[in-house]
Amino acid sequence: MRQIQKLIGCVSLCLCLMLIASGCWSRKELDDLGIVAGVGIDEAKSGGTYAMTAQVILPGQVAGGGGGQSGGSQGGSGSAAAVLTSQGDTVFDAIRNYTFHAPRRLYWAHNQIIVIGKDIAKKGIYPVLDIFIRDPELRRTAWVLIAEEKASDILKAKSDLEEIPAMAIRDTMETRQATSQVAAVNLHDFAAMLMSEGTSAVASLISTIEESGKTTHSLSGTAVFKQDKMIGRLDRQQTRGYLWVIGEVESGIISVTCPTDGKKVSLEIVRSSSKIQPRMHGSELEMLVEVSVESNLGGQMCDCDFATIPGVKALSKLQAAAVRTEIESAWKHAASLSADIFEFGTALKRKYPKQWKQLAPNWDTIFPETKLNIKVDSKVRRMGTISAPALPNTRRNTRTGEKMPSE
Amino acid sequence: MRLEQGKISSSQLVFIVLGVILSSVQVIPPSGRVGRIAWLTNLIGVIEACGFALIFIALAKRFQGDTFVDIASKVWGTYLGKAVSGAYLLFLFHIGSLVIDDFATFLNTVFMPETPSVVLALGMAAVAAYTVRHGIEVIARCSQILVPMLVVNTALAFLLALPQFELANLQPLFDAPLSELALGAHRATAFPYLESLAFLMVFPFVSRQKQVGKSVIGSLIIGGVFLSFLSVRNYAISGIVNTINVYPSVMAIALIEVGEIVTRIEALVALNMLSVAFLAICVFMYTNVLGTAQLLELNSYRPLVIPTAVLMALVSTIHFENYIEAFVFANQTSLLYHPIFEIIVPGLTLLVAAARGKRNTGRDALVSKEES
Repeated sequence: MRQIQKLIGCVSLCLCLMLIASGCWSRKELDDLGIVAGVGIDEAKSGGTYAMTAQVILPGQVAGGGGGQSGGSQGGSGSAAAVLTSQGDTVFDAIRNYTFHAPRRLYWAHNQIIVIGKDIAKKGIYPVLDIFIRDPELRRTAWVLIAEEKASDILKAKSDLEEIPAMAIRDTMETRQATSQVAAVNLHDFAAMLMSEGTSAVASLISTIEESGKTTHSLSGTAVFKQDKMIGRLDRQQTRGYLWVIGEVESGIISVTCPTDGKKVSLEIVRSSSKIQPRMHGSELEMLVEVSVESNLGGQMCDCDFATIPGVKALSKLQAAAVRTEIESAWKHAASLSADIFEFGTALKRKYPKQWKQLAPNWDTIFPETKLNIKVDSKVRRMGTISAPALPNTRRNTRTGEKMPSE
Repeated sequence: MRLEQGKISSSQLVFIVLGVILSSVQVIPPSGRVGRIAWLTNLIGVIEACGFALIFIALAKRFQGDTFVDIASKVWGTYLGKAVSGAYLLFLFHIGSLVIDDFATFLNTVFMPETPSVVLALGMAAVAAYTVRHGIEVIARCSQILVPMLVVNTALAFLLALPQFELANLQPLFDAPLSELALGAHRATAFPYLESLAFLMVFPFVSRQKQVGKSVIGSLIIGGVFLSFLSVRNYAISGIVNTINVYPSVMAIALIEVGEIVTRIEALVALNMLSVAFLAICVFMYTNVLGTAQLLELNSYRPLVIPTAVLMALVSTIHFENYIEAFVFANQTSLLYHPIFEIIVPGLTLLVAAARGKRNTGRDALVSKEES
């Protein structure tokens, strides 16, 4: 009898637990949420306050592939995201002010991009970013982008290939490796750069472009910060120069000029790495930047036959020179802004912690005076599926290597 | 009748002590508060902790088969002894409820901001109470499952985090003033390493008494190396941001993104924290109720479990008004408060015992009590 009582007790306890333990306290039903895919923040016209533009996913449109009332392919009307705007004294205030007109509570855990308008970027970006770093609902893997003009324009632009424009921006951030001409910085990286003494933060720049009559977005370079204020920009070429130094070039095309007839040859970067070694000779600072790059001959527009030892050597020399030019261009620009985007200060701190403590307060003036010593280890590995240009023997120029100017 | 009939093996002891040591990761970021050199202070702390642990290990050897309550009454006499054990039991109660609070605060901050912390605290205390009622053997077996699971989870998360892993973040390796190193090491000693002192209540139930000292020192070393590893991992992943992260492990693992699929693995970290918090709460609750039952000469500790659990949960909600108070307590107050019970009380007890020539004469105190 007692056993039966015990059994009944156990079962009823389990039933009770099922009622209370199955859900979270503050559960959120999917159909009550507006999932934010991307957010843009501008200065409001009234001044001192913030205008926020959020792109909210419309689940019905995504699932139906744009079917139903609006066809996905019908010029933009089939977008699977709604653009909502709001204003507030602070960013958090603006977020909560959505509840005045949005019937769904905005849910931020899937936010992919944070676009900051240029006005804010110039005045100081940290006040805007704090909540994104602090709040547990938001993820620090969201990309930080700086709009060339207004962030709202970026969020309102459409993409033909992706139903949700913010996802399209996220994907372009991920395919950037194909050129390595855009710096990709997520919230965590940005916070780390802001916190690191002497380092100037960078973030990708994004702008709107016209594409067959429609407005879409395009990554246009790199914004350079001092503290949290944007002070300049690197173009795409300089950005790759910067990425060579920090070792984040993954792929991309290096165009070199054929030595014999001045036409272009494309080298496809396969991998690269870099090493920054600070050296102190007395009071003189030298940064030794060793970049190693490996590429394949991707395509040539000239008639030269590079499939000879001197030919390949010539290519790799040209490649080294091209890489060096890119780095120097980035370095000159950064030095003119006295913005240590290469984290030379950090490298110095790691190797010479004691000396760094004395240098740190004046790093802004010391950094541009630093001597940069670039060493490029350049290799051209493979030639693709043909070993010589598909031209008759008589047209091929096999004397490539010999005509190279010797270094 | 004996209060606890169970026996645990010395390897099980290692697992429980590890559970208690690792439970600290919720409140003190194993790297956050001393920054880049936390891995070093965690290691130095182990050396200091092993030194002081020798005190209570010596005490346990001298009084083989006695819990701290027995020892205190033998060494300090009936009345003073009761006062000393009473204070010791209050200390255990206090740390136990602190662990509950840390756990509830963690969930409140990161995962469940709207759930009242008392609900989380009572839930955890209820599970712990259920376990404690079943005795030390069940707690030991739980630790045998949960601690290895924690190691596997940590290893898995570490492998996935390797792309973000940047050891250069830790350079320069040894650049810290000596005072900072010493302070950091002492912090780690006071909390969590020497909290293993709670096991003075558990040592009599270890089947091979000679192994006790070895097990405790062994688990201190393993725990210290593990915490040190976590410090290295978190700092190498998060870099300088690690110094402001409230929960460095969670934030570091949250950065993992393998493709678009393997993200949000920080749930693994939460699982780890949950399991070690559970073990620590069980241990402090168990030692507290067992000691109280001995002190009051009850026949069983079981009637005490539920009231103690409820009290621990409720007290946990009134420790601190805000996170900063908890942080200051863990970083400053505990430096002085914990050693009172971890070092001074067992140290004095050992000294007086030596002076008065007291030691356990019977082969097993709990058995001899049964005979009388």
